[in-house]
Amino acid sequence: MATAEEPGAGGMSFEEFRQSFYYGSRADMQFKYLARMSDDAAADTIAALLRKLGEVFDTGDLDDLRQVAFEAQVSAYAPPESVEPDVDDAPFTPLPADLPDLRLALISAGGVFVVGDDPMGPDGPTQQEALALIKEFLRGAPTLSRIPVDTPPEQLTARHPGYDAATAQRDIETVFPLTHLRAIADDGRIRLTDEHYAFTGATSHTRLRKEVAPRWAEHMAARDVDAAFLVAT
Amino acid sequence: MCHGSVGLVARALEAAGVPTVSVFVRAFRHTAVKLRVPRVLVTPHLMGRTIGPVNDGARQRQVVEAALRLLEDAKGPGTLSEFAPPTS
Repeated sequence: MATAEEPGAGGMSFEEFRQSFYYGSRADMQFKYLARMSDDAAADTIAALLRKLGEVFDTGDLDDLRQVAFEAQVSAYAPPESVEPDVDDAPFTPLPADLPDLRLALISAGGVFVVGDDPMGPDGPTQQEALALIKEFLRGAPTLSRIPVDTPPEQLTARHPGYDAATAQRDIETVFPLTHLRAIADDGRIRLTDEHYAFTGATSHTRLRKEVAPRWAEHMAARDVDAAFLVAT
Repeated sequence: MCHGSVGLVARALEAAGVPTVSVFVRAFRHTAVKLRVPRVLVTPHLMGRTIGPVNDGARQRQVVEAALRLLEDAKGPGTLSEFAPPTS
């Protein structure tokens, strides 16, 4: 009887295994970067993670394990050569006043929305279902979710086909730090707008650049947004 | 992808007269450079945990404070700052 270890027996190659993390059978947004790595680099990464995991069984110290995952992620996404700007201009608006005198809006690309106000409707996809829709997301234009300033964190959730939003579902402040900003506002060091925003950053960059972002900027400027705090995911 | 989207929104806001600060994770620092995003705080965190690890309120608060300082202190476009935890 053929086994998976025998060539041509229908087993998965290591490359196929790596690729399966990128929207494949093992889709995992935390480790989808394995698909970008060489076989050797990915094998070394997995071995290092497992080695550290073995240590954690005894030490309970997750920091080293987290560091291995972080370094692998940085390495996997690093550009092959030195980076130069792709754009000719560099828009920059100086602060028009001291920060405590400005109305600050939070804008997250983490797919955050108020529970019950899903931008994809009441039957919107779960986080897992969203992964299968990545191509649709990347072709479409994003929707801006509006989040009142006094929304408690337990009334917020997130869904996103580009990162593992289960993290944000556990702690929304990881990508939408509104509670922290409210605390700082209570100290009088900033002022917050009445409305804050989020969208799903996995979207058509062409449509975002040409149509959507300018429209959002116009909307926010008209809504007295004096400054913005943006969070990428 | 998402870091590029934030860069585009930041650029649009700046062009409309709204100053911005953006927080990126280290893995996508290069996106901030490519798009000349105006003020960017780069954090040493895993994707999906830009502001800080789950339930690490102290770290999250430090990152938010650092981003606000960058918003106040940046003197020109393309100001990119690496978050460094304060030494106690």
